[in-house]
Amino acid sequence: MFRILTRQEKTIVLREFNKWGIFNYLHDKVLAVKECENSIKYLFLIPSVLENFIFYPSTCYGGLSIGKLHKKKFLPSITFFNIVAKYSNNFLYIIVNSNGEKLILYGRDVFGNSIEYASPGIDENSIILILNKSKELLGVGRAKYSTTKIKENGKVTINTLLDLGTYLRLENDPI
Amino acid sequence: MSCILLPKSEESYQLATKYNFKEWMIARYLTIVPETEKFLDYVNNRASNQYIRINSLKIDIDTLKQKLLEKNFKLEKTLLSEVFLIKESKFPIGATMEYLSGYYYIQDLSSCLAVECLDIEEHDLVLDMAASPGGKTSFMAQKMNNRGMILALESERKRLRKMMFNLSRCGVINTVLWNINGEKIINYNFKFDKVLLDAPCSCDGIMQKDPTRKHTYTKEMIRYCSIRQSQLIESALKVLKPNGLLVYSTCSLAPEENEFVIDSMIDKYDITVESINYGVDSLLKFGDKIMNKSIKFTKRLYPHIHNTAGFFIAKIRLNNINK
Repeated sequence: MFRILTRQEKTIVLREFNKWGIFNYLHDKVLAVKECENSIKYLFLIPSVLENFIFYPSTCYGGLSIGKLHKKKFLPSITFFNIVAKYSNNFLYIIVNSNGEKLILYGRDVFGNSIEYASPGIDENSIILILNKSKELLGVGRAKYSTTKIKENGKVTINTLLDLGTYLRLENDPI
Repeated sequence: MSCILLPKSEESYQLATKYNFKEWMIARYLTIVPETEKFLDYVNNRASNQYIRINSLKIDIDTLKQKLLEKNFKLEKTLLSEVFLIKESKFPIGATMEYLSGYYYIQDLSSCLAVECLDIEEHDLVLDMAASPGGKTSFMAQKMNNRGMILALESERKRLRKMMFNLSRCGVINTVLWNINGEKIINYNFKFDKVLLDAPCSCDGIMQKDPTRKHTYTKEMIRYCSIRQSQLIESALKVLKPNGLLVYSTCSLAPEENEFVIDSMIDKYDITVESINYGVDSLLKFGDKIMNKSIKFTKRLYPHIHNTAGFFIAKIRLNNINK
């Protein structure tokens, strides 16, 4: 069943929107949460015009699925980062070559030698967007090194956390 | 509605033997499908065409065409500006970065034509009654520029996940998905501008894609589907606003699932069957059954004529509820 967020949940999520520079994207949209039997809370961003159709027991999806809430933490989905890549300038990123692109879509980590560009300011453990040469989002990763060392040859320098291939790998899973 | 069996003949026997079909199917196809042997030869010996529909919610048509050309895809234009036939590709088309990014959706031209017939407008309230896996839903969202609203219904729980991922991948935001049987929508107090009913069917129109259908196809399946389709279309008409538009489609060639379903609604509701610019005229007679003349406005698509799946489309305008 869908419900609106509690005050605490809302604070957690809004903080994340603010952090990634996409607070304005919330305009004319409402946040809703769907609690599943396994106690996972799925978060949805829903255009206000859909509100009348959301809060029914039969609803299983609406608007955009932007992530999960788990133990007071917001775990954004790849869809959330698609919004970030499209509407924000406030993120760290790397650009990978075509070989790196293929590997990431299979969920593999990023090798230093496949990185063509890394934005300044990346530190160890920074969360960064992984883009291709056309600056399209491929995935999201956690940096193992800072900007200066991130291109190091023959080493995994970024652990991939999310990638576009998720859509294919999970689509046949039961819900 | 029971499956109508037509008399077998020397020709039906020979074609059934040659193409490894059940003879009762061939006896029916000889009446239903123009150039029947060409059709049988086509579905038996040719791989089905692959089409992609470019998703303008994520990328413009020319940009994606250029990207795919750079990857050595060969595309051919179709009747619809957003839909292209894949003539050649070096990669599986369901595993490219462009596919995963939702820049295109793999979808038969016939399915896209059904959506095209719905004359979607940006702020419409639309019902998609049997929605998974979401190809037609996402095309409707694309036509609405993610505005308005689509309520998508899917009764089978195991098909929901695929639909959710397809909507996410394609950047669809104006859709709510409900896990209920389409018929149950009448229990809610909603009225829609447009309804798409791509009804569950016996699917002999996609035998080319799934050859096992040749052997699993049964008379009982036709009977079961036609009953269910009649129930669904009645619910669809009941939730349409006056002057609202319903598009009914199936990938079945059986008249019991197509012309008969629409014909029975003409007797019961104040509706107008509107003409469609694609395909060939539907059947006005099958077995002893003679259809209302306006059934000619519904259309059929055939693999060997239109290079699509076998498909049926009817465009129905509701004038007033219940005669």
